Amino acid sequence: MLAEATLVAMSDDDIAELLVSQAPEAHRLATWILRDPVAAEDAVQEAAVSAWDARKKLRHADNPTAWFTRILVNVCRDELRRRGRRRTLPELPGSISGGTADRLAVRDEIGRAIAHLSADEQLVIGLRYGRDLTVPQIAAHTGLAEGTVKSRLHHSLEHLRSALAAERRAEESRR
Amino acid sequence: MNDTDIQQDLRDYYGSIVPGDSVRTSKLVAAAIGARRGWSTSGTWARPRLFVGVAAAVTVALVAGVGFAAWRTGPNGGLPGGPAGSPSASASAATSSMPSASLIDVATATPVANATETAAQSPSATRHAATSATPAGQFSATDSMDKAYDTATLLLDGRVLMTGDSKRVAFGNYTVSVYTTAAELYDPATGKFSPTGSMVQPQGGATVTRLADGRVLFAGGAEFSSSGGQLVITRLATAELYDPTTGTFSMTGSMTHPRNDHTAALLHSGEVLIAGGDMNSSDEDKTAELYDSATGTFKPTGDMTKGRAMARSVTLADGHVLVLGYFSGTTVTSSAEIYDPIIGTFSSAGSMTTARMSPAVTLLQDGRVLIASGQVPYEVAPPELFDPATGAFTPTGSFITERSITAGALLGDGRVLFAGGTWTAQMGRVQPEPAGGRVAVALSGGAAARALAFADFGGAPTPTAGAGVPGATAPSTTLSSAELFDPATGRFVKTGSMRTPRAGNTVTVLLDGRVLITGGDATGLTAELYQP
Repeated sequence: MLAEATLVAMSDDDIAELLVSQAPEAHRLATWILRDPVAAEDAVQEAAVSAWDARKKLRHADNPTAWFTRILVNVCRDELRRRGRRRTLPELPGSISGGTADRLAVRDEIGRAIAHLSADEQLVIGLRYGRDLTVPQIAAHTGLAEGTVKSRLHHSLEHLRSALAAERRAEESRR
Repeated sequence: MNDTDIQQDLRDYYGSIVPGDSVRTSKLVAAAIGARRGWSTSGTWARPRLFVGVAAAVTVALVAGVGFAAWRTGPNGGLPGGPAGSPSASASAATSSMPSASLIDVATATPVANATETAAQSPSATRHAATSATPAGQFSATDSMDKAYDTATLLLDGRVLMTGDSKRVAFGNYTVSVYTTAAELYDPATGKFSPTGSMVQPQGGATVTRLADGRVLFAGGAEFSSSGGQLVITRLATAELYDPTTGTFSMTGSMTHPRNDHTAALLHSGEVLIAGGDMNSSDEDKTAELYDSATGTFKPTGDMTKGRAMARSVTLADGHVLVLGYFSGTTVTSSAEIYDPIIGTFSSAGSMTTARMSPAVTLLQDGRVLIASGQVPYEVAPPELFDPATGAFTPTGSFITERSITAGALLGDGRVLFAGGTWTAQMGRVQPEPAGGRVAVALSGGAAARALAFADFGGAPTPTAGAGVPGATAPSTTLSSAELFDPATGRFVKTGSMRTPRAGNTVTVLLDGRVLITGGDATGLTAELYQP
């Protein structure tokens, strides 16, 4: 994340500027988690407003940046859970950079398989392989213990492998 | 598949996701917090996500005096959308009350008032027919209308049907723009407007579609009334036809649903696809239906994948219909879908590169679709192209002068004319003026806006005045400038400027290649012609 603010008592103006300055990185983080830049915009706005509403806590936080990131991650987790309840798959991103037909096919397959994972699994997968965070960093962003992150990543890959196999069997049967 | 393979595939997958415009997210956050700061004291705040909700937008329109022309069918949203492109287009908002932008001279940091590009013409100055040849790339005056119409439809005989006049009416605590039944015809041969028959009933917000046989279909819309001092908006299912051979309107069959803020497209079969709308005030409509001009009846067709209000649609060269964007609750989205007229179903067509509400949509001669403008909060979305061959949306060249509330018109040489529109000075955006040396900057939003100004400009400009709630006080400039999009290069080039600043004006390509521009100025009555 951006340089961390460690003000002892932030004014409303300070908090507003902090939240705005965090928005670009927050948007990137949310995009990797949600795999949808537009949904990520919504999530960042929702997180920023939530943080603003709870700014009394933020005012004296040791690490305001980490505090805001935690809020954002929770908003993204909620959105992933809502998607799961709606039983809908996220649309593929509107802009795809590069790639051959084969690569695009694998991309689609991976995208569908990720959608089969639980919200918590999608969260850690996005932070690890999208944002390229380390296990300790994921632990800090999610509030999970490092051991929990490791085991969740492990199970996520297992579930992803199963989902991919199911996808491929379904594709074979359609041919 | 081993762990290494799957991890590499995951990295490839995430690497293919383009994060989008993070600067835009900063502006949205600044707007959300600014709004929260402004509204929290009144106790009436609703979470400001991407844009104000329909109810809020209506309130803004009422307060600001913006007519319900804002919800009028726009480019190709009901106008013929066949392979030749839209013969007529209307941008989608009224402008009479838009405040002018504050200008700051970079050299002196002195605010300059009245930031329109050129001085407005008086109606009398333009109320005459063009009498001399106009140089290529220039605009000339033509006759003025008796009413401030907001839609223009090219008829098969070359005349242009003008509808969508409105007048200000008080309903209890509200004053709104209520549509009338008036209509006029513009005859390019004489350069004159003249009355024609009146609509059977006001259908403000109706989609307007020229049918293959030359008649014009008006479908749906809304009417306004008052109950207990509150404004009541009633969505209409009714439809009527204009017959140019008799100059009269008559009722035709009614739609299966009342619809407002819907979209329409003429299919190659001659049927008209009507889709979406805000069926009731809290639920966007995902249903669609077809109008059969032979029987004068509507029948349901497949539902869209999403409820969509204020979407835009265009019929592609292969007969499919592309539906773009929508406004859902409080959110403007980038989502697109496509209608297959053979099997009567919609399917996802991915997403535009950015969220847009009511963009200007123009079918190009090579089959691609130019998507430009389209309001997103506090900025103008950069243009993009949809290629039906690949199904991909890709960014293209940017406007020379950023503009929203504008419409494109496909010229005979394949280029697309954009004339007028609104540039909104908001959240630190900069606008070079033709005269040079001055910029307009956003002055609202408090600390959040200051942070943005520094981010955008490297700290150069210093906001000096005009604090307020973002969006509510955004200074705007109504543009007289025009520019052309060249599909061959993907770039915009300047062309002559209109005689009058306009936004929400209609743009209609005449049969002789000239372009009729009407309304959108301070009076809503003037018109001019562009010579390509």
